[in-house]
Amino acid sequence: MKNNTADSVKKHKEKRSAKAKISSVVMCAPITIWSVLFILLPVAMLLFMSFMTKGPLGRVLYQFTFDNYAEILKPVYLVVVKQSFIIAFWTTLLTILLGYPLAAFIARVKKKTSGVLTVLLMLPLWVSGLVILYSFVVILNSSGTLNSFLLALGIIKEPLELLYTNFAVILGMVYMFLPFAVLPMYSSIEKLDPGLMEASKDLGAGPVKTFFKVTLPLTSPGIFAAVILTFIPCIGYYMVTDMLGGGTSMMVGNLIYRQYTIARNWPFGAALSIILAMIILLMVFIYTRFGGDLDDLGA
Amino acid sequence: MSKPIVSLVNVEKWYGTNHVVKNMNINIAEGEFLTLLGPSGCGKTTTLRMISGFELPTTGVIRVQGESVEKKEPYQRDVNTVFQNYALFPNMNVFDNVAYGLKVKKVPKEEIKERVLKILKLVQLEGFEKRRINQMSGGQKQRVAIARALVNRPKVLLLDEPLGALDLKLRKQMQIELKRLQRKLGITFVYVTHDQEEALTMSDRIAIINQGILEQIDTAYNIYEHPKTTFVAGFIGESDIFDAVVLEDKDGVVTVGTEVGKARAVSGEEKLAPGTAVSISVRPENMLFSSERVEGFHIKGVVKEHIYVGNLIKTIVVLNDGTEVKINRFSVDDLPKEGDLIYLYWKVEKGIVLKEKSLVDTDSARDIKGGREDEE
Ligand SMILES: Nc1ncnc2c1ncn2[C@@H]1O[C@H](COP(=O)(O)OP(=O)(O)OP(=O)(O)O)[C@@H](O)[C@H]1O
Ligand SMILES: [Mg+2]
Repeated sequence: MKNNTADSVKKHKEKRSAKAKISSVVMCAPITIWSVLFILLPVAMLLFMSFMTKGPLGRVLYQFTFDNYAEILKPVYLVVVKQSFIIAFWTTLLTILLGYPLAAFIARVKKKTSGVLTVLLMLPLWVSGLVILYSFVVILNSSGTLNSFLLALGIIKEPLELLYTNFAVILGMVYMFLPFAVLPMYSSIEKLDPGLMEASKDLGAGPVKTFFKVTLPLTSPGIFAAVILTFIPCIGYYMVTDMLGGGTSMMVGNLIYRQYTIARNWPFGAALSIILAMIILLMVFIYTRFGGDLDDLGA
Repeated sequence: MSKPIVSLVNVEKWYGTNHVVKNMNINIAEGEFLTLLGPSGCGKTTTLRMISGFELPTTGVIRVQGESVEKKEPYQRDVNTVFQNYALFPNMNVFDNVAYGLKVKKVPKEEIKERVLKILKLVQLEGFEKRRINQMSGGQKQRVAIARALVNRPKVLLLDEPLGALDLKLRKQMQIELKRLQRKLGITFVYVTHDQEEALTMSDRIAIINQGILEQIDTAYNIYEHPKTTFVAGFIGESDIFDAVVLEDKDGVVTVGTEVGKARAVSGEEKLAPGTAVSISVRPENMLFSSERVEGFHIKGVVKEHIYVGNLIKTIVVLNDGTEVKINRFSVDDLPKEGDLIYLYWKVEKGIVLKEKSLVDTDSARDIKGGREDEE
């Protein structure tokens, strides 16, 4: 009798777990199909393409080769890679240096004010990047707003060459990426227990020491997230370099863009994209190793 | 008292229109364990933060070792704080947390190591140096927080409800440990709690604060046996309190009239004029009863019920004006029966006369009264 009940309980459990299994499969199906269709498949195709051979007139010959990856090591392209890294480096540095105090300020003010400030910060994201960059052209060109203003004030005698320089590119990049950098830093500064700063002060540390020993280390995940959210898209972003760099400075993004459009060399473009993706993965990996939260990157 | 190590002189604190600390005067002796005790929101934390330097008094002076600390930042005061939620640095291990203050002050490495290890031993955390903070239990974190403050050898240690987050058993254990530590090191402790039992067991003196007013500051014994205000009498332990008018103050005995009849109490230092409005406070365990009138007393009531609270029996007596009075007894022997008419009395020295006046100037007192009316 006892055995019987035990058996039936076991059966019941099995039944239930089978049911649970089916329902979990059904529940997971849409997201799985979506991921395969829109993430896995394109990446696989990109990877496949990067090992193909370039044919005449932009055609692709389906012959396996490593040439595309070897191509990247040519000096012409290495210069572009180097240039990309330099611009991305300065952009990231300036974005963080500007963004951190801004994030700290938003985290400190009253809830209402911080809401308004966040909306203001996000405002540029609702405007087309093209419009924003055109306004930079208007402001920066040799007879533009900034130059006329400085000339009128007599601060300068001749118009400054601002547009189509690395300065203009970096300025544009910083403007574009600032909102993305501020958000993760804001979230980690806001999470910080103000009691820790008080404890540090109480133990004899002045404001500067407290910042470097407590505030900065504890908000570093936010900073690192901001670095990733700035540095990575910066390397791949070609619009700013196109419009404010005037073709003088080229970045990996521009290079990839050209392979798919003007140069019609899809395999090489694919190889470049794969390399870029690898760099991103590596950085995200380092980020998580340092205790970073992937959710913060999605902010 | 010998020269105080900390003194608050006429300290007031306003947050906007909120009068949080009212004309506070406290002298804290060197090596003393002083507890600030009071209900939530009475201004204990604010008072502590003014001593540590995280808040400035609106008016008044705070002196540490005889010197005004008005211009001194928290990190320049010879005072350390143990914060309520520990506030340990999560990015450092136990050793680095404790060493923080010494490192900041550029103490030589060897000395830091020696002092940190010694203090960790003192709080029984030997061998925990390398542990990360999130791998420590609540009680252990508490010890780290105490070690981190003590290693700096402050003149005064401020503790804001340091045991608030611990369970009862650990709390009791830590109370004893903390007290032992304080004795051993001879450091002045200013301790905040709203747990009266904790205050009574640990403190040399207790400062009772109510709505920003220092009601009484005295030893645990005196606070319990000789409360100065009705608030103190009601807040520490239980009290039966009668509103009364002085009829006569003669030969050390005050005779009063209350709404429910005549009663007696012991005279204070000050002679009371007949007609003075006072309150009489009696501890329920000092309340006696009899089936006949006792000389000098004429308070009678009907026994309503007995409540058994473990080893204690509370008897509720309803007086003829409807108010209830408690009697506490430790044995069931000769308890009156429910429904019995009894006469209440007490030994004259157990009846305490409370003048309805706090230890503040009348202005502030009017302030509270006004505040109370606002709330209604
Ligand atoms: N920074 C502040 N700004 C405005 N009002 C404050 C501030 N800090 C405290 N208060 C108010 O001051 C009063 C006393 O607060 P305080 O924190 O000193 O109380 P407490 O006695 O420590 O209470 P608890 O036992 O709940 O910790 C409260 O009414 C509180 O709302
Ligand atoms: Mg408090």
